Amino acid sequence: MLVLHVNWAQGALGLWAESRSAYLGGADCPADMGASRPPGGSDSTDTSVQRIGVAQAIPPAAHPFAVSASDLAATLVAEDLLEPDAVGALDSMRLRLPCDPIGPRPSDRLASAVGALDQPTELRLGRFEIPTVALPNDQALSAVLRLEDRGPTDAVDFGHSLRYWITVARFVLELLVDQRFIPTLIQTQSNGGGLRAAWRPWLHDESAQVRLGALLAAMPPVVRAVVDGFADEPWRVLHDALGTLTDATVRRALIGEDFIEAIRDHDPSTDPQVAWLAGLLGHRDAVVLPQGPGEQMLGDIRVWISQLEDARRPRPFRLCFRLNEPPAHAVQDDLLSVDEDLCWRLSLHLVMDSEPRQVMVDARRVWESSPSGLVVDGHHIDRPAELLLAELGRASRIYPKIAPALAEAQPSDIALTTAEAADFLRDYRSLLEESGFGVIVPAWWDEPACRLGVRLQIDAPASDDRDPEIAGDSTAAPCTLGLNSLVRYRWQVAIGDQPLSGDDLRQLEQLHSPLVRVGRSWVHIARQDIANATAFVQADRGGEVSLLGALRMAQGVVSSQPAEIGLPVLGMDAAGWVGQLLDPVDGHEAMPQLDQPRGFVGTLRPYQKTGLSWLVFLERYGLGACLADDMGLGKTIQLIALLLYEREQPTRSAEVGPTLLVVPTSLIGNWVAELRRFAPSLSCHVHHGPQRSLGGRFVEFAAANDMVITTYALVPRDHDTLMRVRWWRVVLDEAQYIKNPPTQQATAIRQLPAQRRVAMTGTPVENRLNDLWSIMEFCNPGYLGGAREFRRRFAVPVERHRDRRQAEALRNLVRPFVLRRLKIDPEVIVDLPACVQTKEYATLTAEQAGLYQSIVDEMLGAVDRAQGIQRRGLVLATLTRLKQVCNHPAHLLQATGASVVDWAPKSADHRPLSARSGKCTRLIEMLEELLAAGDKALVFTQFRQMGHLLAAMIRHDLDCEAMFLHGGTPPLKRQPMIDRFQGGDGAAPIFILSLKAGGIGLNLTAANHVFHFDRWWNPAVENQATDRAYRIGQSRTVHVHKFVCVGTLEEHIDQMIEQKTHLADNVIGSGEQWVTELTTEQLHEILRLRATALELDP
Amino acid sequence: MTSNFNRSFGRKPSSPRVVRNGIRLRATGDEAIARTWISQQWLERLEDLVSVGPLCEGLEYARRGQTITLQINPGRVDGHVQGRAAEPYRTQLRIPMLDEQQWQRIIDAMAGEAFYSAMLLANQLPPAVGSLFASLELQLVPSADQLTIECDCPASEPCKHAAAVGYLLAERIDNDPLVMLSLRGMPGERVLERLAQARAMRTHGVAAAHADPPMPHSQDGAVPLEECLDAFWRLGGQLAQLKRLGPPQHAPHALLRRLGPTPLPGQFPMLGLLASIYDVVSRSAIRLRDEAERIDDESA
Repeated sequence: MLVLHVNWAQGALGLWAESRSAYLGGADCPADMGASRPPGGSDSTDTSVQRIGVAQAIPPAAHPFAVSASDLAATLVAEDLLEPDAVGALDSMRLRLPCDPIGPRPSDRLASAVGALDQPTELRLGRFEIPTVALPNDQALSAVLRLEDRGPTDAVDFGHSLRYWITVARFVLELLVDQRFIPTLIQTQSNGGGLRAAWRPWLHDESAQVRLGALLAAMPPVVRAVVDGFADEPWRVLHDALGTLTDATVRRALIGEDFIEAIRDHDPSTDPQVAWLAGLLGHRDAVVLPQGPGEQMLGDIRVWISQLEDARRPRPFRLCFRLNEPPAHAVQDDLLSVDEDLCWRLSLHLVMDSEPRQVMVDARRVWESSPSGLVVDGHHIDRPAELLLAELGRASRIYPKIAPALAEAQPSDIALTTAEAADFLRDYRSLLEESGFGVIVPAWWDEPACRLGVRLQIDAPASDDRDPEIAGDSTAAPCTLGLNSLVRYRWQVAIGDQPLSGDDLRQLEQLHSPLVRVGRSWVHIARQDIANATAFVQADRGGEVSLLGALRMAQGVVSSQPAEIGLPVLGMDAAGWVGQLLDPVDGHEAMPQLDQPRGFVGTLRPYQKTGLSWLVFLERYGLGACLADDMGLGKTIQLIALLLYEREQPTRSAEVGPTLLVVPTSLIGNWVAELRRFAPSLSCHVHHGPQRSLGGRFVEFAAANDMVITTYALVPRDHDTLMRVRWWRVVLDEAQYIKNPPTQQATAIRQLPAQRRVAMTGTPVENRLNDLWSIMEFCNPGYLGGAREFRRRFAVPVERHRDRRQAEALRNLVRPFVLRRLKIDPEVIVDLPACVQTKEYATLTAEQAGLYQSIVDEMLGAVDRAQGIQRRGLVLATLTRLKQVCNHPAHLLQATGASVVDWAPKSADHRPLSARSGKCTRLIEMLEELLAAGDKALVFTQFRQMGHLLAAMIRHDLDCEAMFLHGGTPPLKRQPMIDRFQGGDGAAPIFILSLKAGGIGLNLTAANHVFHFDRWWNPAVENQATDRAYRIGQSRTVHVHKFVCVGTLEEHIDQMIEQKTHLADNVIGSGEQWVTELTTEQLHEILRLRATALELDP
Repeated sequence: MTSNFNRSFGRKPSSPRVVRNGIRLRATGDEAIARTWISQQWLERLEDLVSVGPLCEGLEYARRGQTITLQINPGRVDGHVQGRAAEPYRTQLRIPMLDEQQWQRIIDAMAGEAFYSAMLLANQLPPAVGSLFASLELQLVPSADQLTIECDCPASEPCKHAAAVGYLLAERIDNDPLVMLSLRGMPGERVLERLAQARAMRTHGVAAAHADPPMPHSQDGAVPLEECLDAFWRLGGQLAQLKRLGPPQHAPHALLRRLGPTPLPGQFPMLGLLASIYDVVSRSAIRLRDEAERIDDESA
C-alpha cells in the first residue's frame, strides 16, 4: 500500500508516495519493490548508516521508504488513478520532513495504517531527496480531479497534501468557470528585460480573498516543505501555483480551439496588441515588441489592469446609485399592472461607509454646495462636485446610460424606462457594485425567486375520505396506497405562489414589459415565459399520475409538459393527507399526535412522540420513512414505541407480524438491551452467530417473535431463509451501511418482502448524497430515480459544484420522508435534560472472543493451585488482560510486548485496525456520526496504550485529528492541547484522555459527548471525568456513553452495579481488590463468556 | 454708450458679472497663495508672463470666484472665466509635456531611492524632486518662454482671465502637488506604478503589468516549519468554510466589461477576441470538470 502526497516544486505539481511495506522493512508487495532502493543510484549499502546521516542533512539523504518514481507512475496508471499521458517527468525534489534519530517519520496516514504509536521522541526537520512524478501543468487540474474521483483505493491512500491540492484545483477551476482571470505582461531581467505574456487569476476582489484566506489557513505544513526559494511561505507557494496552473489551463483551452489563427494575418511588428496576443494564445509566451523599450507597453497594460483595482482603493466618498420605483398610482390594487411609460428614477448620491450608519448625500445637494467643500454629518467632502464628476466618468465606462446624463450641467438622476430598469437590475448592478460603486435597489428584487411558472395541483387519493381520523388504527389497509396510488392533477399558472387566472394571463400578454407589478411588488417576467404559459394552459387539461410521479414532477426531477416547453415548475399544492405530508413548515406537527403506548416502560419525550406519530402516519399511507434524528435523541426507542403501538390497536392487532431489524454487528447487543429495558413485552430473536437457525426453523422463530435482529453481512448470506418470511416491516439501523460494498448486499436487502420500511440513521443524510440515494431507494424504491440519473442530476451538482438550486430541489423532494431533528432544535432542546447517560453495548469479534476464552480457561486452570498473594496477583492480572481483550486484541498483544509489525494486520488485509474490536467499531461509528454533526467528544480510557491505539485508529478511519493527553504528557504541552480542543476552528474535535491524567481539573466544555471506553467500575470516578464537559460554561446537552462488552465481565459487573447488589458495594468502594476474594465458582460466574458475546466474523 | 448700458443694469463699469458658486481662492487677505516650492515657482513663471495690471485683476477675479470651471489635463489647464461680457471667456494655459525618454530617465533616477516613492505616496513633491529634475537637465515647472496662453477675450497680451486661472492652479498645486506631474504628461499614480515596476525589476528581476493580489488575512503569519511538526501532515479545519461559501458567481464578462478597450495602439479588435476567449475558457473549464467526474459513467 502507498500513501500519496503532492508538493508544488520547481513550478509544477509533483506526486510522491510512501510505501507501507518499505516502511515495515519488508518488500512483500511487488508494486513496492523499488521502494527500498535508494533513488539516484546511490551505492550506499548500509541503510542504517545512511539513515543516521540524515540529521546533518548535507547532502539530502534519500528517503528510505519513498517509492521510486517509475514504480509510482506504474502503480498510479495501473490503479487507473492517472492517465498514462498525464505522467510527466520522473524527477526528484528536496523536502524538509520531520524525523527522529533513525530517519524520517511516517506521515499520519502511513502511521495509522500500520498502527504506529505516537512516540514522544524529540522530532526535528531533516532534508530528504524524494523521487517524484511531475504532472504537466496543462493537465494538472484534470489529473488531480481524476485522483479525487477515483481514489483513494486499497492500494493507494491519500495524504492531506493531496486533498489540499484537490481543493486548490477546484478553486482554480471555479475561477476559470466564473471568468475571473486576466491577460497580463511580465518583464524579467533574466532574459535581458524581455517581455512574456501570461494569464493570471484575478484574486483582488472580496470573494476571492475570502476563499484564499481559507485556503491559506488550511494549508498543511508539508505543502510548504519544499526546499526552494519560497522559504516556507504559504502565500508564495499558493500564489505561484495558482498563477502557473491558471496560465497553463487557459492556454490549453485556447490551443485546443486554435485561437492563434485569429492573428495569423496580422503583423505583430506594427500592432502591439497582436504582439501581446501572440504570447497569449499559443505555447510560446514571448512578446516581441515592434519597437522601443517594453516599459511603455508594460505601463500601458498596467494602467489598464489597474482599473480593476479601483474598487479596492480606499475612497472616503464614492458614487452610489439608487433605483427608485415609479410612484404608486391609482390602479395599484389590481393584481397586474404595468405602464410602460412609467418613469423609473436612478438617483445619484455620494456615500461614505461609516459607523454607525452610512453617510449619504444627494447629487442635488452636491451641485448646490460651495465648490470648495461640503460638510455632511460632520464629514467634510473636498470639492464634492469634481468628485461626483470623476466618479460619474469612471462609472460611464461601465454603464452606458450615464454618458447622456452628463450632457446636463448638473445631473442628479437618470430617467429609465421599465425595460431599462430591468436591464440595470439584471445586468449592470453587479458590475457597478464590483467596480466599487454603491447600488441600492428595491428590496423585492433580492427576494427569493418570484417567477412566472406553473404549480402542480393535486387531489389526495379518494381513499383518504373513508377514514379521516387517523387516530386508532395504524394498520388499516396501508399498502394499497403508497407512492404508486394514482392522483388527479392539473396545472395552475402562478407567479411565485400567487395563482393567475386566464384573464390575468391575457393581460400580462398585452403588456410589453419585463417588469410587471403584481399586487404591490414588481416581478421580472420573461416574454417567453408568458407565451409558454399561455400556450400551455390552452392545451393542457390535467390528468392522472402516481403520487410518486407527482412529487417528482413538482421538483422538476422528471420531465413534465410544462418543463418540456421551458416553463418553470414552481411547486405543488395538495389537499388532504398529501397536503399534510408536504406541508413544509409544520407538517410533522400538524399530523395527529399520538400518546405513548401503554406497554412502554419509561417516558417518551414530546419530540419522540412526534416521531412515533410521524412513523405511524407514513406507514398508514404505505410510505417508507427515514428517521434521521441526531445521535442521542433516541431513535431506537421511537421504533420500539412503534412496535408497541401497533400491537395495542384493538382492531387489527392480530394481523401484526414480525419486524426484521438489520443492524451492524456492533449494535446487536445494544438493541437487545434496549428492547429488554423499554419494552419487556416484546419478544425478540437474534439471527446471528454460527449456531443460527436456517430454513423452516427460522420461519417458526420469526412467526413466534415480535422482532428478528440480524446483520447487514448476513442478509445476502442467508437470503433464501430471510426471503421465506413475509415481513410485516423491515427496519435498517445505521442505514447508511446499505451503500457499503458489496453492492449485492444492498440488492439483497431491497429484495426482502416487506410491507413497511423504515430506515434509521444519525448521519446528516441530506449532505451525503450517496447515502441518501441508497436509503431512499430502500424506503421508497424509484423515488429518486436510478443511481446514475441521481448522480448526474443531484450528487455531482450538489456535492462537487455546490449547486444551491439542485440542493434545494432535492431537499424538497425528500423532506416528506426524512425526519431529522437536531439536538439544537428549539423544540428538542426544551425536552432534553442537561446530561443524558446511555450504555453502549458492544459485541466481541471472534478474535476477541477466542482470546478472552483462552485467558479465562488459563486462569481457572491455575487459580486453584495458587494461594494468597500469588492467587490475588493472578486474578488481578487476568482481570486486566480481559479488559484489554475487550478493548482490542492489539491492546492485549502489545501489552505483552509484541512489536508494531506483529500486531499490525497483514498487508493483504485491508480492513482497518478498528474492525478487530467490537467496541472500537462502535466507537468509530459513533464518532463519525457526531463529527458529521459538527460535535466534539472526549474519550476516556484507563490504559495509555489503548489511548495511543485509539488515536491511531481515529486518525486512520476518520482522517481526523485526535489528541491524547496522558500522564506522560509534559505539563507545558497540556494547556495548548486544551486550547486547541476548546478553539472554534474544529481542527481537533476529538480528545482522548487517560482517566487519571484527564479525569480532574480540566475544563473541556467544547465537548458535548463523553465516552467511557473502558470502565473503572466506580461511578464517582467516572462522574468526575464526565464533569470535564458537563460543568459551568456548558450550554448544550452532554451525552455520556458508557461502553460495555456484552456477555463479558464488563456486562456482569455493570449489571451488579445497576442492581445495587451487596457485591456492588464492595465494587464501588475498593476498586478491583474484591474480585480477588471470590471463590473459583464465583470467578467463573463473573468472568466466563456468555453465548451472547459471540459474533460471527464477517 | 457702454456706460449707459451698464448703468441701466445697475453695475459698476469695471466689475464683471456675478458668478454663483464660482471657484474662488480660499486664501484670503494676507494668506500666501503659494505655500510650496512648486506653486511658488509656478507663480514666478506667471509673473514673468503676465504684466502687473492684468495680474492684479486676475488675482481679484480668482478671489471673487469668477471662474466657472477649471479642468487640469496633461499639458494644459482649461478654464471658463466670467468677465464683463455676457458669455464667459475660454482660457487655456499650455504647458509642454515631457516625452517618454525623458520620463524614463526621471523614473530610473527616482527608482534608485525609496525616498521618492514614499514622498509620492504621501502626496508630496519635496524640493529634492526639483534638484533631481535639474540634475537631468530638466525642469518640473517649465520656464515662462515654454508656456502658451490662449484666451478668447479681446485683450492682445496675456490677460487677467489667464492670470485668474493661473492663481487657481497655484492653489490647486498647494493641495495636490502631484498635479504638476499630470501637467507634465504623467499622472502621479502612473509615476508610482512605473516606480514600482522599476523597483520590482531591481529587486526581483521581474516586473509585471498586474499588481500581485494582496495577501489574504489569516490569523497569524506563517509559523516556521520547525514549529509545525505535531500537525505537519494535517489540513486545517478552515476548508469547511470554503465548502459553505459555494462557488463565486459574477456577471458574464464582468472583468472585461470593467476593463474596456486596451490602451495599446493598433487596429486589432482585441476586445472582441478577449470576449470569446473568456467564453471558451469558461466552457472548457466546465467540460474539464465534468470529464474528470465521469458524469455519465455507469459505475457510479
